[in-house]
Amino acid sequence: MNNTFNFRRFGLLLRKTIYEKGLVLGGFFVLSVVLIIFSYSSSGTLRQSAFAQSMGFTIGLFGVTIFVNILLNNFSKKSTAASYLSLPSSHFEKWLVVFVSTFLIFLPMFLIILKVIDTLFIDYYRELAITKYHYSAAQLETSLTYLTYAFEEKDNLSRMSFGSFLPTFFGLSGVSVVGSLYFNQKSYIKSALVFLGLAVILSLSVNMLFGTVIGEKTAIMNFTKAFITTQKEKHYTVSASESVQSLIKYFMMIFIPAALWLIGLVRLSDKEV
Amino acid sequence: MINIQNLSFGYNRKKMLYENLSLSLEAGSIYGLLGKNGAGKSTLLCNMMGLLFPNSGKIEVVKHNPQKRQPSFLQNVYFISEDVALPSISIHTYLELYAPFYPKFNENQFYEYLKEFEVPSDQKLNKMSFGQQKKAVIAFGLACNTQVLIMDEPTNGLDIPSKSQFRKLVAAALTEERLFIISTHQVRDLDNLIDQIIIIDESEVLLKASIISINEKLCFKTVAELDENVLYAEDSLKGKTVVAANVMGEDSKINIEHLFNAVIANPNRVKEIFN
Repeated sequence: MNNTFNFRRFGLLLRKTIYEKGLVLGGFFVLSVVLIIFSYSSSGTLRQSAFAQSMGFTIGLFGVTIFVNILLNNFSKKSTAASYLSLPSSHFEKWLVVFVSTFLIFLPMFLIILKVIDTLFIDYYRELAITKYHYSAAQLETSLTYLTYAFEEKDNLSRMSFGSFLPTFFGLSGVSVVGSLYFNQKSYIKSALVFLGLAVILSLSVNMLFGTVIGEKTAIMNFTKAFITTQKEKHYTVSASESVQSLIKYFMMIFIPAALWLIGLVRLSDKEV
Repeated sequence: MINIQNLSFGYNRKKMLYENLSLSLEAGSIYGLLGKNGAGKSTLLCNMMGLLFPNSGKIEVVKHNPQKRQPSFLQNVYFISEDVALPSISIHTYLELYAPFYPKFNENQFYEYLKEFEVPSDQKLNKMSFGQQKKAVIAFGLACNTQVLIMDEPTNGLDIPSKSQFRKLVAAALTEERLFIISTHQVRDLDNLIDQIIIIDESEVLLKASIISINEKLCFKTVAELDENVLYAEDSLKGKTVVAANVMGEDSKINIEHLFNAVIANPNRVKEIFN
């Protein structure tokens, strides 16, 4: 018997998870959609649509952390923890169910719904006079262009939102996985507090360290740029070289989220009731 | 079937719950694990299931290391915890979702057990009373036909007729290939059910013996006066009910509650008698 992965066992586990948590997850998903519609409907004008789109992405980012937390919310009671951990499936299968639910179920559903709402919103305000067929083709072309440039940080709020959405989604879902597996009680609140605490400590310590070395008032952006204000109130921007910038970018966007998800897998195998 | 060698476990490194505990359990028996509240019965069971990890020592259950929680191990063991928390689904759905994980699961047996327990099979699990939920889980655990079935305080929450049904069903489900462990502090619930008794207290196994061996070495009777063979005595209407060393080879019926009290009160003498 393969004790690491078996497609049948994985399928059974996925089905069980969807059945058991489907109602809660579905309800939560509907709430997210309502919030997105609310943010669009309250934006009022087409000019504000980019802001509404950013709000939509933000709802998705908060949403995924709650989604993952619901999936892994088995450890608050000893009986549910025992039932989950003693279910005959491997740690990898249990982890993969969370991964697949997050990236192959939640993410596509969320993006499709956001795109539909966005399209309907734009459609409504532009009052396009062209036929439905041409309109759909135009929309498809725009979407493909949109995806192509997704990771390029152009000076466009919506593109920037989407470009940074996927890595942030990857990272925050990873934080939620680790938090849900480390904290048995009130795991969402504790994870959020630890994450925010660490972010603040890291940011402050980097700024203080840099300020001490430079001897001037500094503000670090994304660990790649430093804004320095001298005692004579002159402003300078110091950037890391492009290679270092891309290294930092990939470290933050890929390495850290991937590491968090892998820590989740290891933690699951070490988890006790 | 279950081998524990030099197990040391503690929730806190400074205060160990078990130190160098060794135990060997064989198939074809129903073991009653008895101990006071907080003696560590549930902890020991969780270690056997791989739900808690020992600080040191080795545990082997059905030739697996429980700590790895491999599917080939988990489909051969079933654990019924003291509290049950069931999802908001019907019994039929529960069966559809959980039974396929256990290759030897028998659906007919499951419904038969539910019928015996008088659990309605058309209700949602979380809408049932605690006792009904517990009976549904016991029925499921028995129907899984796993080699090892571990039950932590299974009779908690069961009414009197259900306790007797429980004893009947568990006794009937035992085969030569299966091993059941029942932990409880309500020792009377195990009357006429278990054939091996393990009593733990103060981090150690005070007694591990079969009912036959206990009958041979101890006698349970009512006497007018106490003698030096008495390990434990309790006043009763007819005189004093005692547990005594069976020096005369008398035949008596085991009173598990008195046995438990005798072992807790005189652990060293009991060890001398059984070693």
